[in-house]
Amino acid sequence: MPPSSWRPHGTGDTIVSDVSTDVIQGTLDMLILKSLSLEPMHGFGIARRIEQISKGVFKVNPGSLMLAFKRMERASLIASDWLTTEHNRRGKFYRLTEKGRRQLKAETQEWSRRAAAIARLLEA
Amino acid sequence: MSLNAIRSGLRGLFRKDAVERDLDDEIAQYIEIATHEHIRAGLSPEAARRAARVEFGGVEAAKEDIRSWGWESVVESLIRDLGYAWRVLRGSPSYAIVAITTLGIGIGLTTSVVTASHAVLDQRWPVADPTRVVTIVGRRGPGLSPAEARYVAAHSTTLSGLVIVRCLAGANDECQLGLEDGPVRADFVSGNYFTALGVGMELGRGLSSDDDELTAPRAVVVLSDAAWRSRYGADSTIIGRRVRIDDVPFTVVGVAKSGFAGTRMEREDVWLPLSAMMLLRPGRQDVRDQLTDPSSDHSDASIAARLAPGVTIARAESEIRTLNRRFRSENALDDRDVSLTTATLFPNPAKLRTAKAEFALMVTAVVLVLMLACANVGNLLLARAAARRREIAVRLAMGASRGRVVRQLLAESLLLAAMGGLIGLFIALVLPGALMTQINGPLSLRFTPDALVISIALALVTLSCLAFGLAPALHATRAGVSAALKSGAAPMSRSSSRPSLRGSLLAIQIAISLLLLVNAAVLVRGIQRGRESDLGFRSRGVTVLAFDLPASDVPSRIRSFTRQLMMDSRSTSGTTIAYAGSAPLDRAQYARFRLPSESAKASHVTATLDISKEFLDLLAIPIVAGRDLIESDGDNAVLVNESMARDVWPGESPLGKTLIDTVERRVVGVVRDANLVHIDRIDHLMLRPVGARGVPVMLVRGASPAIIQSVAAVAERLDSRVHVRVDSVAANVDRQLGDLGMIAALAGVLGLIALVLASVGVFGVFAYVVQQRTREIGIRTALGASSTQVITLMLRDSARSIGAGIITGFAAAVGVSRLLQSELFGATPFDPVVFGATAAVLAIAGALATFIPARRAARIDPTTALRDE
Repeated sequence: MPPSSWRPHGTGDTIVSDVSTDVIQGTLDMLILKSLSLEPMHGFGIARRIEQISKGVFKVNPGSLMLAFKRMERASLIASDWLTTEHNRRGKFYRLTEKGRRQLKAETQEWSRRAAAIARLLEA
Repeated sequence: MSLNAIRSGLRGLFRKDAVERDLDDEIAQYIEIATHEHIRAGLSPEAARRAARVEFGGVEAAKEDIRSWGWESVVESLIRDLGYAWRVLRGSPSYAIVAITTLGIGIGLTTSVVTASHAVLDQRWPVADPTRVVTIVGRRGPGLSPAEARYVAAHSTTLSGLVIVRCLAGANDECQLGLEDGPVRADFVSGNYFTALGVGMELGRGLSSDDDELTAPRAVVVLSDAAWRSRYGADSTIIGRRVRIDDVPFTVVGVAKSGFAGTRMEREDVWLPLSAMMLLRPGRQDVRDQLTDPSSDHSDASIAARLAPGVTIARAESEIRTLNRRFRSENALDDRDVSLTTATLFPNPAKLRTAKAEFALMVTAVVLVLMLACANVGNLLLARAAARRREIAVRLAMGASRGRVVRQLLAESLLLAAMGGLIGLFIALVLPGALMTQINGPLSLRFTPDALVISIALALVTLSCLAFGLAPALHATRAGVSAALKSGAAPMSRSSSRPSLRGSLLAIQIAISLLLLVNAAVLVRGIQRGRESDLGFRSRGVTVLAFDLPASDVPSRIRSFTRQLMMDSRSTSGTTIAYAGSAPLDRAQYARFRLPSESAKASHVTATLDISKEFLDLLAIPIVAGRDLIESDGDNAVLVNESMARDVWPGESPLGKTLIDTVERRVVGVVRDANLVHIDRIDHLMLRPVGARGVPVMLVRGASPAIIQSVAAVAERLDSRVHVRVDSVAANVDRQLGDLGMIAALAGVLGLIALVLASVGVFGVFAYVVQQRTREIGIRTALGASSTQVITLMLRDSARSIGAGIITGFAAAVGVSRLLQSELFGATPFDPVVFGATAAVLAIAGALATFIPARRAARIDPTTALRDE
């Protein structure tokens, strides 16, 4: 269970029942990178994909998502372009930069290493 | 920070609208797409939109979160805080102006004085690698004579070059010669001056050792870049041109590199070979002696040397001491010690101690002013913060965080400090050079404000601003919002019970300004006393007329001019006129002599003055034994003063005794000791009949302008090239007191600044006190207090601080003026008149500064005051 002091990041009601803040902080960036590794996407698309693929385990707060975009753009992990959406309107699309791709690779490896370790611990 | 972060941060700062629009668009797009999703899932458009909005959450909160992330938001809030602070300061301009000027003066004065002190005392010679250039100075008394310097240069192994720099006949004012029709400052230097010191040339060449042969002096001159530009319009064909220096033709061989103005504090215009002295003063044995006599006693010659590579000062010093001893014993001179110091522009090591003491005093004074400024601003900030308690309470109540309010108040303090710092920096850049040039004429010193000093002064001011700005800010934000809102102003009982921080600050200000004022007054009184003191002769109302002839004139011509002048002017006017080799308290001249009983070496030294027979009468100097000089004495009779009579012929009458300087002379009279040569001591003095030694000056008692003009006309008729200078003995007295006068003037100015600052401080504080206590005063008035009672109440409040300040200031002033007395001539310790007067001035200033706001308090209308909520 989350600790009682846990408060959602930002103001909207966020995320999931059984994940604590710092894990989310760390993973949100990684999840964004992973989503963008397939194709450029706009904010809603990313949120939807994370929800769908995690089968509703992760529910993303739009405010946090946009803050993450700003942070990651500053760090040159992602870049954005204004393009026309499928609904024939202007939309902001994010794509992965080369640096972002390297970061995703590094984070994936690190995550797998940790997950494997935790799995071993739990199985032992 | 990455380039990308800087770029997008800057975009956030400068393209704020575009960034904001992007964010709005992105959010709108997000909600729109979410709405479409919901419609596709089967919701009505209305319900879909609502659902999308609910999912998104608080739009404004999300936007604020995003906006306040990143470095640009910190910068932005800082700018916003500073902007607000600026508006607040502009809202109360008198407060802002007083605070900023106070800080500026404090920083500016401190930095200026330290800069000036640093420049005067420590500035190295403007030559290549100046740290390797040392001056050779006498431990006590004179250093090396030119002859000895040449001996040292020839035998030393630790020096790579030794240069001699001096004025024509030893005294400072003979550094001035005439170039064509205008005066120039000239230094006579050894032939290796430019090469040994590594000073480059703009044009032509520097001097060479061939130019400086004692047996065959060359008439060559090197101009300074500045003189070349101002006198010859930077004429590039100047090299080889003949110019007239004191009417002697010289050839220009070079122009020194731009910016080089010699190796003294005064700015030099031309450099001549040492041996050229003999061309400018032909037939003058004393000038020749100066260059060749091993025992020459002139101490103003500056002997400098460049250390050979790898040699330490200590090693060079021990070698030069050995050489010095050997030279002096070979020439049968008494032992004398020399030492080496790194060469600075400050000329005379003997005066260094005094100069250091004087500067230390000034630095102390300006540091006190800086402290006063800090206390003053601190007090203003305290008073202001107290008055703004309500404003702060309102802001807290409106939901501003405590940190936000504190940051806001800090921004205000910082803005004050920064603007004060700017003014201070400006003062520090301009003041020292302007002031020193004003006092001393053109200087070769460069005044560059010390970065360290400026930073320290600025840091101090900022710290005091922060401390005094922050303390009340923290206090105000801690106090309960509701309490502050309710009371509206400070609690009523607070004023009289405990000694407040504000009261102590006021007392400190009063104490400091009392200290500065007392010391200024002590110095001024010292000078006044010096002026009025009994010098042993009548110094007032004596005009001095000096006649400048081209110095190169042959002695016989000078003699005939002098004889003619003395005869002609005697017949033109009815007043008493006397002649002297130089005016009283002007240049000191010394002569060596021996007694007939002694060996051939002239071993006694005495000050000398050449006088005409009317001299003693005109200055009212009594003869205590023997008689005055009379016309029939010829050149061989002399008078001596009491000190000389006592020391040279102890226990016997000097009358009729003989002594030998250049010729044998007989003592015919003894005069009362008088301060004719130095204002602060009496040397042995020999008075010789004025004669062939140069053109005498004319002393006239009670001369009217008409008389001066007629004398000048007589002189000009005799020789059209003559230039008449008018001066007075009183001016000489002032010059002898000169440095002291400057210090007293400076102390006076500082004292006045301190007084003004302290008064402004008292005024500012009480203006706020009155504002704060409006309600209390209203109640008192409503209950029947008269306006006199209200004013008394206010005055009593300030009297406590002012009284404490005066007492503390007194204690400090007594100590400091003791110190002054030991360092400076003329200053007296505890002087009841000075102390009483200063205390009275301060008390009155303090009372006035309180009275003005107090009177405003007395006029408070109780109904308005009580409604004022």
